[in-house]
Amino acid sequence: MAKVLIIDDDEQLCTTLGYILEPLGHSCSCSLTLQTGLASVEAEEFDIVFLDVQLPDGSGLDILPEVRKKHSHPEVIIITSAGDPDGAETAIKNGAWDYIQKPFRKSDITLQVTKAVEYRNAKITQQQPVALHRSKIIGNSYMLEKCIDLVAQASAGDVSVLIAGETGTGKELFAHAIHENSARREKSFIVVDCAALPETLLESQLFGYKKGAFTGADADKEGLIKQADGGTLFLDEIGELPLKFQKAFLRVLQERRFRPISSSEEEKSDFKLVCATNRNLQDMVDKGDFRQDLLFRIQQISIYIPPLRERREDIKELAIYYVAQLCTRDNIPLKGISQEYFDKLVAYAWPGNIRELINTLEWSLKSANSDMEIIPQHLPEHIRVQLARDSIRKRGAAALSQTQPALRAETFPSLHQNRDKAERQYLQDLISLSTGEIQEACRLSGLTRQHLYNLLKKHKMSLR
Amino acid sequence: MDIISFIPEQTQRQTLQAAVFGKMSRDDNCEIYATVCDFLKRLSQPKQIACVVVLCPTGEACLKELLTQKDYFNNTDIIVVLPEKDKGLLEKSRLLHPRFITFADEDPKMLGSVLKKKSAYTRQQQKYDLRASKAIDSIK
Repeated sequence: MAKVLIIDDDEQLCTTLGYILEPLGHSCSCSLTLQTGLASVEAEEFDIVFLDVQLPDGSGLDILPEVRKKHSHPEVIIITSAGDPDGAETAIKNGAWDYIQKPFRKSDITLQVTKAVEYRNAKITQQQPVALHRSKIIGNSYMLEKCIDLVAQASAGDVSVLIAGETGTGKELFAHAIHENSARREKSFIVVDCAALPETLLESQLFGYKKGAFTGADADKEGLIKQADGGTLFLDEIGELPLKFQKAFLRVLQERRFRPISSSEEEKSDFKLVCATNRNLQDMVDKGDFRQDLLFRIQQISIYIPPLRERREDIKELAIYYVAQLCTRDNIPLKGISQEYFDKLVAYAWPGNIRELINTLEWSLKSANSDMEIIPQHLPEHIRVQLARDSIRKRGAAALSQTQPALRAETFPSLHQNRDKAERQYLQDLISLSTGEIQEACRLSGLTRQHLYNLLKKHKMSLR
Repeated sequence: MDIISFIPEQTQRQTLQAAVFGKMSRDDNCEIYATVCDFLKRLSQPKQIACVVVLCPTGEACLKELLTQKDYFNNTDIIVVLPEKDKGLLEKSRLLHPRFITFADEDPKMLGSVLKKKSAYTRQQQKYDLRASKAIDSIK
């Protein structure tokens, strides 16, 4: 049985939902405004919240993150009569369970509620670490919290984990967090940078070799796979692993055994595998650049780290954290950050993600010199230019939308009327530009003299 | 790409300059520092987003000193060149989570090939990021 809250200004709908859900053993409460709805989730613990988008005192989408953060973390089902794909996207990204449009069938409701209840029950019974050590993972956005949940799951067992995300999103930090929260935390965390190791070095670095295996091999060398024994092997940028080497590595994953170069005996290594990539490995599989069986092996759990522009609510916290860290490191007094500076950080798209943000903060601290507060003028020039461009473009778009009258069905012109209007305007401009000279008007417009006269006659206009 | 190196030992500095850093592409900015103080001072200054730090400690004490300054290496990729093939030294250097470990008596060409591959990958990535940035821009 679940406790359900319906936040909708349509009383009839609230009653209907009650009729559908109460016979299934669920208890339903109703709030007709956002304010009373928020007060209800504050006062009581709910499992499921039906949330209308258009309410008398605002949009339900605005309070969705707040509702999700309440102690019971209720599953939210957005319900609305307006077909709004962007709203649906916002809802899902902010953690809505699903998005249902009115009118709906009874089965739409019962199915969603049953699935949500099953999911909650499964979540409650799942064992998670008591306190997850987040390392330096900063932020509280819903998208990041989802990643943290997956880190907890990935740390728990010996599953292989694939971390995907753009450059600079902090994939290695997540790999560390998985290792630090696993039972292998006391053992080694071995990094293999597949984007840095040339093909000629890959085999010897990973598998190791015996003395005399090749020129310069004057002693046995333990490979990285062996060094990761008992710990975690982190393969960064696994998409860069050459195809011919993928087969050999797949065998290591299947058997946890490998043979050092020139060795007659196989060795064992028991490691947890964490891989990271900024590439779409499924696309690479489709193109024949990555083995399907290897992809299957490495992604028992997948974690997608969202780019910074998709979790802008974390930017302020990240900035405060790193400014404090950089000031401490460089032994300088802690500097403040102006609201305008924060606003600029939030407005920028951060193609280089957190790595670029840290570099920018470092730059700003140096630019600020002895100033005690960082202001937008301390941002690197390329960011200020980009923000200025964006601002001008937005203002231009806003001005354009203000000058365009709202579309109304009763005054909407036919295509014929619209063409006539445009033609008339064109002829006026042509007469003005050609100063009434017929030859010049024909040259500019590309019309024949006869065609131009016919048009002028049609619109009751003359050249002079 | 920035390649910022700490090489206190003079002969090693000359060897690596001739065999590795001197042969990098002109797009790469290679800097070598001989003292911890100068090296850390440089690391506290703004760097390119792609930055590799090459550490060539002279022994255990030197490596320990670098380990206490880990905060300076955040946001950079680390490569370690150890003075000898000692298991304890190797294990300690692992605490820096280096991307590549090599030894002073090994062929410096190995270090060179790793840096060149990293640099080529960075350039390719920057082109990709630029395209992505333009795409984001066009959506806005």
